Amino acid sequence: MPDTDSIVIFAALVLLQLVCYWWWLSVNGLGLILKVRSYLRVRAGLPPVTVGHGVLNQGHRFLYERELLLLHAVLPKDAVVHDGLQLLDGANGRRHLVDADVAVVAAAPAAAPVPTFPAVAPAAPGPALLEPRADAILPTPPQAVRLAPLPDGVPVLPGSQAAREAERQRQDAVVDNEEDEEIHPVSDDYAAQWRAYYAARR
Amino acid sequence: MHCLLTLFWPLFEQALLLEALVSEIRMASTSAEVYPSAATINAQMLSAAARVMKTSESDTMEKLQQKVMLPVRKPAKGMALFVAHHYLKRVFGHLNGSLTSVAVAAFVKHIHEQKGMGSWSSSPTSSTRRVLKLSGDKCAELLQDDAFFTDAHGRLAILEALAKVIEEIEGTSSMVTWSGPNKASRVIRCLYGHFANVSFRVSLRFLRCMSTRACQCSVVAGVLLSWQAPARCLLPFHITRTVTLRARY
Repeated sequence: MPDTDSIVIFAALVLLQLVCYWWWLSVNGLGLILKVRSYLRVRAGLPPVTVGHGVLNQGHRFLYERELLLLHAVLPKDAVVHDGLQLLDGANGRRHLVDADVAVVAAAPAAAPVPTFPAVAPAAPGPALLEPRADAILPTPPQAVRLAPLPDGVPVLPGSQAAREAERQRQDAVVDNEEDEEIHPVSDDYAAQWRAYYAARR
Repeated sequence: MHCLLTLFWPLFEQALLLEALVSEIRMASTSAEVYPSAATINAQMLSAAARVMKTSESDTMEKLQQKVMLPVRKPAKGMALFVAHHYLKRVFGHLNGSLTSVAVAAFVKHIHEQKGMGSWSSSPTSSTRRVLKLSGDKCAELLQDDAFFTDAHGRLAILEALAKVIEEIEGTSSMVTWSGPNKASRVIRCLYGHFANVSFRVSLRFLRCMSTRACQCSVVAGVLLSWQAPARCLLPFHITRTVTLRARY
């Protein structure tokens, strides 16, 4: 007859192994799936799933900075009480600017085209957005991740990811040359996406 | 008891960090500081940790990058190893989430009272909880031409939301005054950034509702906000602990 201690120890070991399996699956399995999904979404040019979902975090600071720029034209530019609201720094002409240096840095990649999204509807009278002012530069949304080009001498197989990447970079270069001068308002692009999405859901 | 309290120092630090972040938002000197940047959060976290652990900043920084054993809800109220500063930085997410829900709930409730937008329905998960839902079309209507803060009803509602958020960051005494006969009219004196902080939360939520076609703004009286527990409840413990420590040394 086996003694009770060894049975207890055996049961504990089995339990421990089950817990280990469960932990391994939940931590690594789900994490891997999430990573694959987010990678595929990025490659497809879709916006990340996490934007606008869950709690706001540091990644939303650029939306806050954008809001500062957008509201500047709408809210009164003085420190007087209007209908129960007094903006203490309302008279400050630089109230909407986060930092002069930051604004300049954010302007640099603005000329690069935002990754295109499928099914962008033709311009329809949608929610009107403010025209960006000359002195205010809207920060761009974070760029999609791109692969670096292959080193010289490596053959690019037709139909491979590298070939598509090269094609995309060539297209980007063409667009860059054409539209180097003007800076596109980010808001228009977002508005078009929302209109397209909204039209598709109807 | 003391031993137990020392073991969970990250919890106390979460409480202190939360206080620091709330006062950072309330006392911001320029509009850009109303939404704390990553650098600000890191600095506050370091100083809060140094205060809790009573060590120098370099030791604290090292300790924050180590893993600590902490209680978790999943799996089933066990313990798990965390990198300390990851655990602490959740506070900012919790604070942000609660500010958003306060702003949106106040706005939707007020716009429902004023214009009858949205409808109450009972939540499937609980019989006592009622949910005010705003359809995607209504959200689009409110977003059109920034109507949610430019037209008459929207402006009243966003001011209501602003007042609620200011109450949440404990700035009512310094930012909200009542004037006129009978103290009937409210005047909110705040930074441009505080207004933007509220309006961007509301508009972001509405944009999201436009896509999901149903905005859920649960409004229940007396609900403890997520960030108030357990961090807030632990704060008195920390204060008594520091007092006893001071008395001892």
